[in-house]
Amino acid sequence: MKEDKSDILQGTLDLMVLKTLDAMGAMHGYGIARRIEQLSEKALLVNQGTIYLCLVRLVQKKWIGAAWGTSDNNRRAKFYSITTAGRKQLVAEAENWDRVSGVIGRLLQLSSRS
Amino acid sequence: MSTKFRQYVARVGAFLRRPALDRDFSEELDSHFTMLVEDLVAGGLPLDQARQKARLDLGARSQLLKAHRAARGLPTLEMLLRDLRRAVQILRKHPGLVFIAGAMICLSRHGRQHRLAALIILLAVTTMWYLVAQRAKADLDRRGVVSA
Repeated sequence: MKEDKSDILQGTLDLMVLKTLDAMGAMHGYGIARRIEQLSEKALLVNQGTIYLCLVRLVQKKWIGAAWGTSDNNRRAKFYSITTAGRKQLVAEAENWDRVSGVIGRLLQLSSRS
Repeated sequence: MSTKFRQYVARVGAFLRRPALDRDFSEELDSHFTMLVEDLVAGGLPLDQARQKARLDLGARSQLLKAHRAARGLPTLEMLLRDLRRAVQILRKHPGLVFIAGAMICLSRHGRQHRLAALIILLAVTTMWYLVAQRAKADLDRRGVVSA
C-alpha cells in the first residue's frame, strides 16, 4: 500500500492532530485542517481534504472519536475528539519526539575537526 | 499489536460498509466546503470566487473519495474484486471462446491438474450460460413476450 507522504511526515501529522485535539477539545475536520495549515505553513497537507485520510486512520486506531454535531454558526459538522488511548499515544509520541530531536540537536552541535 | 489488530478489524468493517461510509464522508466534505466558503466570503471574497477557491483548497472530491476508501478499507481486495468482475464481464461476452479453451484442456490428457482446471472452466461456462439465459429471459419478460 503506497502512502502519499513518507511515514515520518504521516507520523508528524498524526502527532499534530492528537496534540491539537488534546489542547483545543473537540473540533471538526475543517478546523483541524486550518489549524495545521497555520502551524505547518502548508508543508503537511496537500490540500485540506487530505486531513480526512489521517483522521479516519486515527479513528480506526481508536485514538480519536468522531460524532456528528452542530458548529458555532449552526452548521452540521462531524466533530473529532481525543480518547484516553489517544492521550496515552500522544504522551508516548511526544517523548519519542523529544528523544529524537535531542539526539539530532547534540549531533549537530558537534564541532567540525579542522 | 492490539492497535494493529483493531485497525485491521476496522478496515474489514469499513470494506463491508462502503456505501454508507462513502455517503458519510461525502456529507462531511459538503459540510467542510460550506464552512470554508462562508469564511472566504466573510473575508471579503465574492461568492463565485470563494466557491472556486474552496474547491481548490479542499481538493478534488473523486480523488479524495478514492483515497479515503484506500485509507480506511482493504484497497488490495477491492482492486482484486474489481478485476475479477471485469474478467467475468469480458468472458461472458465470449462463451464460445471459453468453451473451446475448456474443451481443449479436456482433450489434452496431461494429468490431474489439467482436468481440474478444465472442470473449473467448464463449470464457469455453464454458470455463465445460465446467467446469460436468465438475462435473456428477463429481457423477454420485460418486453412482455413471455408473460403476455
